[in-house]
Amino acid sequence: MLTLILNLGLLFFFKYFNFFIDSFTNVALILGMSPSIHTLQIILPVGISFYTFQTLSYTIDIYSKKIKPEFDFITFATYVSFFPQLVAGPIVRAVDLLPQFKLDLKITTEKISQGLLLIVLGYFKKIVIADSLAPLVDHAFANPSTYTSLNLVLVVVFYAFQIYCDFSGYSDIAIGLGKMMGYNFPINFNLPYFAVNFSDFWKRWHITLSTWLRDYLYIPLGGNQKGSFYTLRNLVVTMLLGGLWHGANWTFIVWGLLHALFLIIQRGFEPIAYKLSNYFPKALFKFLGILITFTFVNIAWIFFRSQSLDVAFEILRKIFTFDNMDFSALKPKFQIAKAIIVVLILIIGEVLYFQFSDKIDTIINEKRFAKMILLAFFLWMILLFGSFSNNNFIYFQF
Amino acid sequence: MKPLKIFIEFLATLYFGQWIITLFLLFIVSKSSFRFSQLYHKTTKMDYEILCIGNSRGVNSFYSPYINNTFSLKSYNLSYNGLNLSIEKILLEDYLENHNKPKAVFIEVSNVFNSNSKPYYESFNMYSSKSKRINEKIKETDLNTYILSATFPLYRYNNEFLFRSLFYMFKADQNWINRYKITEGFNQKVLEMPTKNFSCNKKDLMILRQIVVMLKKKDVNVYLYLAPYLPNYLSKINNLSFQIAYIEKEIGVKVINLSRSLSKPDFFSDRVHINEEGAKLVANLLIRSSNPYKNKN
Repeated sequence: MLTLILNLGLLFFFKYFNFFIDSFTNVALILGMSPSIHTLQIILPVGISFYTFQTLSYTIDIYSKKIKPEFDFITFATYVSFFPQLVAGPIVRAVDLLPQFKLDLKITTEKISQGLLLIVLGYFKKIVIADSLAPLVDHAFANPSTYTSLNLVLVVVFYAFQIYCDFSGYSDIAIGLGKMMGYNFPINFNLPYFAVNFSDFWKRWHITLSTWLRDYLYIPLGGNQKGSFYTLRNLVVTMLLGGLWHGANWTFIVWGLLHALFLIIQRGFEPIAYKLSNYFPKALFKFLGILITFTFVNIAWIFFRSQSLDVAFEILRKIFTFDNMDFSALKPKFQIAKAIIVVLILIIGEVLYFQFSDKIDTIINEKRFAKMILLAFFLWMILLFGSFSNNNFIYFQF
Repeated sequence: MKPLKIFIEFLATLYFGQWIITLFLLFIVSKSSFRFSQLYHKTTKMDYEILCIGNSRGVNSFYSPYINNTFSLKSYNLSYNGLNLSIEKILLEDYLENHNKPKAVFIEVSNVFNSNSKPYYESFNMYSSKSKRINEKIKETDLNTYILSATFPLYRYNNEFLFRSLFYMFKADQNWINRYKITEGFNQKVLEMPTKNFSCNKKDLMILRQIVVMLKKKDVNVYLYLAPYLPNYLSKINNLSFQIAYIEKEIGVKVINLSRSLSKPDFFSDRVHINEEGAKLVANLLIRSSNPYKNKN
């Protein structure tokens, strides 16, 4: 209990103190009071959200006797501050990582080449895709009133790929670095935009966070075992805290609540969807599921990306006025052309992997030349399309 | 030894593979009608009587297809958005070196005002293998880009010009013109803007002087001009006449001042750029005063 309070207390202080003070002050002002509570100039420690959850999982797993306490301080400190995944994940549990520190792991050329491929893939996603999309997204979210509806729709889709490539790119680099040193980290993303529904999305997006929330929050609250009301309550609490984990802003809370709403609606709709699936070809039904999930996930991303709820609602309002859906009015044209090309490269790559993952993995693992060409391909794309604008990884801010 | 052998094999694949892609892109770019691809890759010499160069106000105000058809002249617009005078000087020097000299060059001079932007030489990196001047400027201003481009020539194509070259593979680059008309609401909103003063950038004035001297030495007629501004916007600029007089005094060439020549908002696509209809009127004002036209008629 003491470690939970300490860990969560530190996280609350550094990340949420000012947010709650500001929110409390705003509510008090609405009620006609004028409280005199000041916010503090707090510097947010890098990666605090990630290593806090990591240390919490360690404490909770000891309490539930899944693991034994680690008495070697160096090993424990290495687990908490292991550099590849310290700043932005993946969130690695003690039960997965601590035993690896005790093994006599050998660094092999095979592991180095696999790790290198992941690192270069990560940089490809970050430098070619995420950083190419960033200027378009940043400008539109800062000045939504100057954009047409179609332009904003495109920008929101671009943001979906920006955040995916930025975050999964970092995860790939972290996993690749770990692999080069002989350590195995869990995967953090599994083609999330191929999700056929929202629960499938959360099995594919930021997997280490969603499984952490499932195992340490949702299931201890009762999961879906205590009837409909408690299931809905547990979903709302989990997704709300999942949203809040990302940052101290109402936009993240709304983002979390929207995902809770989507999951609730999905549960209600599942029997109808099951019946409807009999009337459609399987592939078409799956495609519709992917399209609907992607659309609503994008709507939620608007809140995630916006600086304030006002901006988010303005973007939504502008999109749904369908003002000027003319393609010729899109701007800036050539940057959009580049953005579409790099996103298409990603989509084609992921579709191919989605369809033929076993074959592709076999070819890459067994044929050295195939691995070499793939590695070279990512580097060629970085040279040709890379945006070297020194943008930080998005999840560093969490 | 095996890891070393694999590493060398990989480097060779990487290096020669990027060369293959580079050569393919070079072939594509050389076939494009994008203006700078024409300048640097055209195998036959460009032969135009009139050139225009400037920033986006030059792009929008000099409509060469109209000029060519109306006045039976061969004109070409080398203007580009955000073009800085340093780059304009290089482009003109390269043009005179590689192609037949024109009879006249029109230079839109508004990039002399309030110009604090750095020349974006790296955008022209795609042509650095064809232009020693561009190559030197990149080396001088951005050593990292220079070294990376020298080691991996594929990096030269990492810029917007590649996409423009691809876009203009099957379309004529000179045919582009802005056809948008501002709304009355926009026109009225311009009146809410604060007033401003223009000021000439001394370094850019010096470069403009060098361009004029260079062109005159080659017996090329030089015409400096200022494209029209939206009248409501013009009313917000306090000292334009003074700045024009300053340019004329420093350069020793009269500026054809068209800033007030279009009174209707219908001829404008925003406060500083004219549209197709405006460009046609400007063409009549500019070309009729030029020597190539007078000599033909």
